[in-house]
Amino acid sequence: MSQSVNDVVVSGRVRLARNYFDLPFWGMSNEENAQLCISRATESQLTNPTEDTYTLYTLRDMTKVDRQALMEQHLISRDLLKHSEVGAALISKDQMISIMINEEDHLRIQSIVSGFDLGLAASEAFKAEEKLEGICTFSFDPQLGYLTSCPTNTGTGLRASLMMHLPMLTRFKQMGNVNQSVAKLGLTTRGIYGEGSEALGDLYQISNQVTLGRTEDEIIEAVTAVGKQLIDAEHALRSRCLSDQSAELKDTIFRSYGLLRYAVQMDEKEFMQHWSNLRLGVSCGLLDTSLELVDQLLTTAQAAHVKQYVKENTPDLAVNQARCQIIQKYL
Amino acid sequence: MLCEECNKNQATVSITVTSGEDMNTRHLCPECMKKMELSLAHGDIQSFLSSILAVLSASKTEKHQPTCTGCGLTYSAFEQNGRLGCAQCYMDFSEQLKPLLQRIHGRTQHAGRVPASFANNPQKQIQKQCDELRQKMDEAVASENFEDAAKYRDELRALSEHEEANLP
Repeated sequence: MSQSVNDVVVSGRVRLARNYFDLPFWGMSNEENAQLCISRATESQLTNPTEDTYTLYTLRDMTKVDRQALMEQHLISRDLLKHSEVGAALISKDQMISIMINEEDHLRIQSIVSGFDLGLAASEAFKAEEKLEGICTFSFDPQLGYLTSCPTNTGTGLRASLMMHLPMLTRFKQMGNVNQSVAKLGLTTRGIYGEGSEALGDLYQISNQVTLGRTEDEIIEAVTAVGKQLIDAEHALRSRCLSDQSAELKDTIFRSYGLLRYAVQMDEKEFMQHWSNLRLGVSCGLLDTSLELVDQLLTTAQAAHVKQYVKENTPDLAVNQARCQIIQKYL
Repeated sequence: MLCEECNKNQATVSITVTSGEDMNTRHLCPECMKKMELSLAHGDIQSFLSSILAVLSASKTEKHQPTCTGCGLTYSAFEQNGRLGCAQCYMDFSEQLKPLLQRIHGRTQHAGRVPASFANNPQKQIQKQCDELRQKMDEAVASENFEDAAKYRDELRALSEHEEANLP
């Protein structure tokens, strides 16, 4: 079995929290200031027409389903959905950069990469930040760094995270130990949609907790180092399981594969469980599908994406049945 | 000094209420004092006392309730929802936030990137530090904390000398 980091790491993400120096933070802001936050961000991205690669999404002009679909793609956060009256996002055409506006901070600049390269994600986020800095000044203090609405982000305002698929660490009940060890290093584990969300599909986000007193490089190195250790631990368990419990593992994977291929209706929670086994099967070389396709399926079979599919293609079909149609197009 | 009740007129009357070992003094304008006296003249001792108590409890709350001069957020409101209101909150709540930041991050000195506007302009950074020190010194003088005021004055002097020495 050839092992690579992509067997375990689904995506990497770096986000920067920034606030305009002359406007109150979100909690003490008003509609006028919120609109100013949007127009400033938009202006900065449109100053050079040849580089106009961003699209502005104003949440209140979108349907609830379309907003949620952006969240399922991790292009906006759950918190931005809560601020949908004034929330907006500038999203690059390649969907690598998303600048959330009027979330907890005026701006949340995030960069997503499909693999493990958090350094690349950071440099892309900084490029987007520099464009914004060209026309505005951020709230900054020489001692405390970038000033943010919540003191947990003060300093660099940088959160680096890895979305990791850890089915074996979960199966062997190692996640409790992982959480404890990770916390000792100033990092934290969260569910699929960040803070407070469930670890559906054995997906976990590993990210830094500490943002003040460390450089951006140190933070990225710390998350990367822990990520590498988790990859090794997950790979070791997969190898052991494939040799010691081969029949049980294959049975679990192929049963899930069978259900995904032939089931007529499936809810999201059940899908996530089978999706996890599908990804594990592909990673272990037991199933002949690409990881890229499997990861795409993770997004397209989520609730809002399925509802969009129903609206466009099969208005009379129930969501759980439509989910199976989508899955079966992929497999 | 302005009247602590209406915050509009000049205070000319002082009332001191002693309760056990606590002694609280409030400074009022004749108009607000008259309102209280009127209640007393009408034999409404209850109303008079409640006015006095309301004033005193307001004064107590203010004393223990740091408020941001930038956005008006109180520290207790921050404690409830965990979100600050503006950049000035960091300055006005610095005494409370420093230990909190130390607990969260283990450090209180930024080590990361600096915005281009700061990085390219060291004078701006020094100017900002000077402004902060000057503000702290004024506050210390106002609260008759002369030891701290002298410390800030020396720091300010050192910073200004450093700036002059580095001028082109």
